[in-house]
Amino acid sequence: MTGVWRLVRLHVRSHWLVLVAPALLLAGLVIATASGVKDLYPTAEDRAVYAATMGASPASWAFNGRGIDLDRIGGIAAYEVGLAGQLAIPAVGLLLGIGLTRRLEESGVIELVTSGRVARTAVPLAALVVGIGSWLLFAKACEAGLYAMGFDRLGSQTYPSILALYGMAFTGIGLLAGQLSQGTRGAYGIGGLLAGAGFVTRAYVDGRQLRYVWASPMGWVAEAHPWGTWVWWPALSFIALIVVTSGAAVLVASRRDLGSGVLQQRPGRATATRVLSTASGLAWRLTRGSMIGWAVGALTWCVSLGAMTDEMGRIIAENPTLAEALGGDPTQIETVMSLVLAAAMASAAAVAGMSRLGVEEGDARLGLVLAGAVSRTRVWLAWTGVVAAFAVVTLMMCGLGSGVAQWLTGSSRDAVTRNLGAAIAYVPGVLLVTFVAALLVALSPRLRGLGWLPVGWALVVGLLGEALRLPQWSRDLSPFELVGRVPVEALDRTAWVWLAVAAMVACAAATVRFGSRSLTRG
Amino acid sequence: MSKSLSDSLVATSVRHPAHALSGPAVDDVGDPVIRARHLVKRFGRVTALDGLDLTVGRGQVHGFIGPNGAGKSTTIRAILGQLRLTSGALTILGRDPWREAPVLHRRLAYVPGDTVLWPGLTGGESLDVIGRLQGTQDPHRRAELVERFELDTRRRARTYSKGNRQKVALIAALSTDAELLLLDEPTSGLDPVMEDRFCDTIREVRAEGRTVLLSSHILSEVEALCDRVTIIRAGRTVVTGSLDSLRQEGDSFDDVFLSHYRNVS
Repeated sequence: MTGVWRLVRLHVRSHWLVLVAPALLLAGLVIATASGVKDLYPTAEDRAVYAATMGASPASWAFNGRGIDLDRIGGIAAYEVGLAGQLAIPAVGLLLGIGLTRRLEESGVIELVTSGRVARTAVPLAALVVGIGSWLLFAKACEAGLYAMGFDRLGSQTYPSILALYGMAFTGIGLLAGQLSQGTRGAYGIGGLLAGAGFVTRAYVDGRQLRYVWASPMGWVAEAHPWGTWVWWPALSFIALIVVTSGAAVLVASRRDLGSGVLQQRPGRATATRVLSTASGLAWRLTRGSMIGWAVGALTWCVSLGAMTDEMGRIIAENPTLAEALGGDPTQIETVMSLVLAAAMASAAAVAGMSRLGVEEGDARLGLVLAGAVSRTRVWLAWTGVVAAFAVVTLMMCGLGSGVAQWLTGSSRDAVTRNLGAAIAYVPGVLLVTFVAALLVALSPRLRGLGWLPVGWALVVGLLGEALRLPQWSRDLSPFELVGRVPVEALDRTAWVWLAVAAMVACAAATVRFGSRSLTRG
Repeated sequence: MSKSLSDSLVATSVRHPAHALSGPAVDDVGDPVIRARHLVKRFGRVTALDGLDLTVGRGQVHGFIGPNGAGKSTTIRAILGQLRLTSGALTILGRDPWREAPVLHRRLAYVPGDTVLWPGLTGGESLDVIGRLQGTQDPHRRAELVERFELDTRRRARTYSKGNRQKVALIAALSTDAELLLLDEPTSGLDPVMEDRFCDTIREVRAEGRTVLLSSHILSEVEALCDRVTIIRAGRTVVTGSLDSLRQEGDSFDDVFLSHYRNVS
């Protein structure tokens, strides 16, 4: 354990931004959501109406988790943080756990550090220490913000605490994944898979209002009742999870060789397949890892939500207040919820695929490929073609998956065509986001990160648009809002056509630009 | 008006020393494979190539030497058609490399100085991707070179050392039928045994009548392999000529090379 403090000081000096920025952004998300709902439900009656409508909808339960203590404003705020918080917090947790261990090992920093007076086991321990520091910062920032806005003192402490424990548990999972896998991407894969499985389990349990609330850590946050009478088992379970995962990480670290993992990589193929050595084959091989991850997430989301539609319909039918508040056919509302998120995730897959081309250029591998007998335009069209086709196919599969799931669980057969129709409505939006990302890479590979902005905004609008009370003009900046919430609202055909035209213009401009500039690295 | 004036000034100042030192040597190359005249490339305010001249005849192993930052890699990237030149005339095998890159690339093969491979692909897969995109990979030659350079083709590229990555790029290029090999510091990271095998391979390549542009700052390697040499400094050609004619200027090739950096500030 020698060298833990030396390493901690090094992390704080060299990675302070990773330790501070995500923590404060998450705190900002929680505070902004809480401030959005604070003045909306001032009286007990307002909150009772909310609890009987939004707070009782099984679709919202699947989405956000259980509504608990909705008679208090803090409970409503926690409920509205819901899905965004459940996914963003584990993401930051994994970033801290893996980014300060396996990623540094892969880049060679750990080799250098452990050649000095730093023990092997100090690596995960130091990451744990700074990880805890980062989550403390998050909790304290949340607490200050909530208390300053007038939320009750105790809840302002307990709610951020349980969120921080939840995040820390994923830092622990990240530490362990970083020891098990030999590569950074593999480690994120393990962590992401666990987070996804936890989310789907919780969505299923809560959406069908089953009793097994302990089944997924994602459900533990609400079960702690941070705004009501504090319940201890969730916090203790999180602490146990942190101790077990980081303990296992230290144990593995003490026994393995530097650069190795527990899950060894098998030797690969000695020759390339015919498909791999074509421009499209190479593009697919290099982008499929990240793109398939998003697609699986989107498809799982749509199918599981679709499968719960009938059950939700029944619960809604028994609750007239709720049916009135939702103001629509539950199967149609389910379709919108499924496909807006699916469109955002399909776009995310496309942006990940396009930014990989920027990475290829920056790492000089694109220059190596273009030293061969392939034209720049061919490589470009193959790459954008593979990425755009994948995004559109993902979206259509999501429409089909949601529709078939609704049909099999009791809806009429029209559900399939209705869901496919809704998916088609979002196609130009997905293509626009894809080709804007392509255009950024064509202008300069350094701009590739900006492609995530429209995806991020679409997610914020889709998940938090209501909770943050965003004005309509800002919601319309998301291309998926522009066409209307199909099938609850009718498709805005003019907007659909304009989005498609804009996508084609971006694509054409990107193709011309990419073919006519110097490579940044060769 | 002022542009053409400054261009001509650049042209004379570059041409003059090259001609003075190499004499008629620059013109005794009939049918050049690479013909570069007054190449200028500016990146914003930085001038990377400042009127560079380079002529490489068919069947030669041509040494292209100069210190770091002299413009060797920039020249090679221009030859590959990956950079748009600010001005100057460049023809490769009689064609324009910027406009006809894919056609030309079937006839040439490239080894970068610092090869970056795809971390998730194996060495063997990377070899084939590069070789087949070039278009003239010979599977027999590939197998022979993999054995000669003792490359484990089934390992992922992320586990390779720098020397192993360099071997992948070398084998990929040398197993093609390319007429012109562009080698940008190809032996960086190779151990002495592999460097020796590299030299043997280049001699075989020359015996087959292929042309090699060997960019390097390892003078012993250049001296062992090259027929002719072009020395550049700060984006300009300082001297060009046969190794023998250059050696007459000083005691050893090293002295000749270094003298060109001592005299001029």
